[in-house]
Amino acid sequence: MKKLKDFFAAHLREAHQLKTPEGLATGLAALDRFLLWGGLPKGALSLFCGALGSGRTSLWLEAAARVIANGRWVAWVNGAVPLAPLSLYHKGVQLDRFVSIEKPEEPKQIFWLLQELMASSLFELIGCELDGYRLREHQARKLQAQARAAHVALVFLSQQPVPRGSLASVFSLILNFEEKRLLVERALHRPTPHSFPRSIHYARFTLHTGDRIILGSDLAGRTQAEPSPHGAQPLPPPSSAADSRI
Amino acid sequence: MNSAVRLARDLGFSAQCAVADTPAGAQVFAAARPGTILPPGEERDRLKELSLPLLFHLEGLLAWERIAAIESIVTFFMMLGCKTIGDLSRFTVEALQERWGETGALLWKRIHAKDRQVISPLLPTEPLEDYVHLDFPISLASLLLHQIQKSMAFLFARLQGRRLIAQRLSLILHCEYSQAQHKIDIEPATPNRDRSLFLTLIENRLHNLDLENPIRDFEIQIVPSPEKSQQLDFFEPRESDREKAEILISLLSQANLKPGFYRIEPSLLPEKAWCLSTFHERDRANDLLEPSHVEFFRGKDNDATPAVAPTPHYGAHVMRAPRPTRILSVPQPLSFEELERLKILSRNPIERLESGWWAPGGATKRDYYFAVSPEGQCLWIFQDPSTEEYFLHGYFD
Repeated sequence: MKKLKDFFAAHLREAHQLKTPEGLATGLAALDRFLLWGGLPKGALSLFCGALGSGRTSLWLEAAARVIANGRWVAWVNGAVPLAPLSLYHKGVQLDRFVSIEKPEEPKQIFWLLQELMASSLFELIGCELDGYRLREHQARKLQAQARAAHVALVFLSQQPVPRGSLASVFSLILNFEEKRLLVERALHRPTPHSFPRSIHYARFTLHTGDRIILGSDLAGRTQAEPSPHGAQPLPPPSSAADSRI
Repeated sequence: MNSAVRLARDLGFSAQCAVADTPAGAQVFAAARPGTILPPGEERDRLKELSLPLLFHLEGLLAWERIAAIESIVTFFMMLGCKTIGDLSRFTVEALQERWGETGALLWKRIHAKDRQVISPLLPTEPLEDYVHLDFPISLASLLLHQIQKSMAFLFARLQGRRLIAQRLSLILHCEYSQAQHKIDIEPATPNRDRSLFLTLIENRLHNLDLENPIRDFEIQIVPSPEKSQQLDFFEPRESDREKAEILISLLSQANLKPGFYRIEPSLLPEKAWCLSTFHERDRANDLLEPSHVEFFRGKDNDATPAVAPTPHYGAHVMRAPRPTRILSVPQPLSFEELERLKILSRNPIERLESGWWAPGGATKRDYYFAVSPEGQCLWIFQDPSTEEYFLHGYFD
């Protein structure tokens, strides 16, 4: 026994020395409990995949509202369909620490822009609507390194299908907002895929359509592990505001 | 005083300094005995000791109109055997005025320390602009930036002296081989006096310029803005979050991006009910907002900042109405086929927006509904009752 203790002594840690990686709570109790970070991972890249109107922005805004309430700054890079600040107002978000940037005319500027935002060491959470922009792997890896150095949670919102292969490995967290469930496609140190059933709650309406949640506060305790179906594809995104169609 | 002289010398001026009752007296002593500090009321007596040719320096803020008149005065009195300014003080003002007119009367006043010229910071004499002719034409951005840096050093020192901040900086570069010129306007998100920020912004613009036709001379002009007094906390860090944000927004604006902070606008139409504003615009808007309005919209809990406080045109109930997280800038008409695919979630509209005929753009009437697409997208659509046409306006994303 003593030999065993001596052998493992260099590798053993006291309980208080173990520290989980930092994250930003999203307010969805079930999701936060499931993820190792207790929310969106800080110092890492996350990806929310889904069509417009599938609830991606609401989840990001929930996390942003908490960051701002803690006195930190948040940045948002718009896509073709801009963020509406009145929805932030309802959430009680203080807009004086919320920097928003219109969609860059040149898609290539997004990469430069994100680097500048992280280099400013001002923001704790950055959201970026990619629209049709395809992030290349070397760009993603560079952003990953910079996010780690700046300790920023960088979240991409994409209307493209979930990436596969080496590009997916750059993201610490990938959420897929499907019609009837929220699917955790990738989360470090957690068994994935993992899904949460959804229903719709908004304003005074409770819509029992069996579809999904916009602001899902009732996810708690209703989780189940399911295989990931990849057959269903979301509708193609609007290439610009003028071309937006459902 | 020594610091002021040192600063002036650093900027390339040969400066001397003295303190006296009047500007004219201070100038004479700065020329004759640099560093002199005269006790109040002693200027008149101490002037008497100085030699007569020093009258040329007895000017202060207002120079002699005709230097030839002073030359004739000095020559005349030296011929009479006078050697010091004190010898002139025996003559009456009438006698000097009779011979040399207004110049004689002014001379008497200055000798007796009675020409109290007003020194007012409200009347600056130096312009906030500079023109530099280069000894040799420059086609390298880094060399040009070095020359610009020198000019900016004393222009920003003038700004600091007048407690002003720079709202805009205009730089005109004149080319060597033609009449061509490049104009660069630098306008940071918020007026400030951060010279390094302006230099960075200029540097970024210079790198995008084609300097094949080298630059021979350039002009810099600064449009100033009054400084806003700010009480800093003792423990407040030198570079605050706000300064970081200002620098970032300036950099992004220069790259033709549109960064800013959301500000609620007094418009009934949801797509026009906000705009992106910079710190400067936001502060200005808050200054214009009456205190009673701010108090009304902040409420008792003081939970809304002035930046998001709507103007009284917008009722509080409208502010609380459900709004999607993403709104189209221009509502998109829905075809019959597209509408058929949607599931509208209520028979009656959840909200009606209606403006009068007097509103800009004419009367508007919209009945809003929630809808779900077959793919599960939650949508915000409205019907125009006049045409019965449906439009997609937002996504509950």
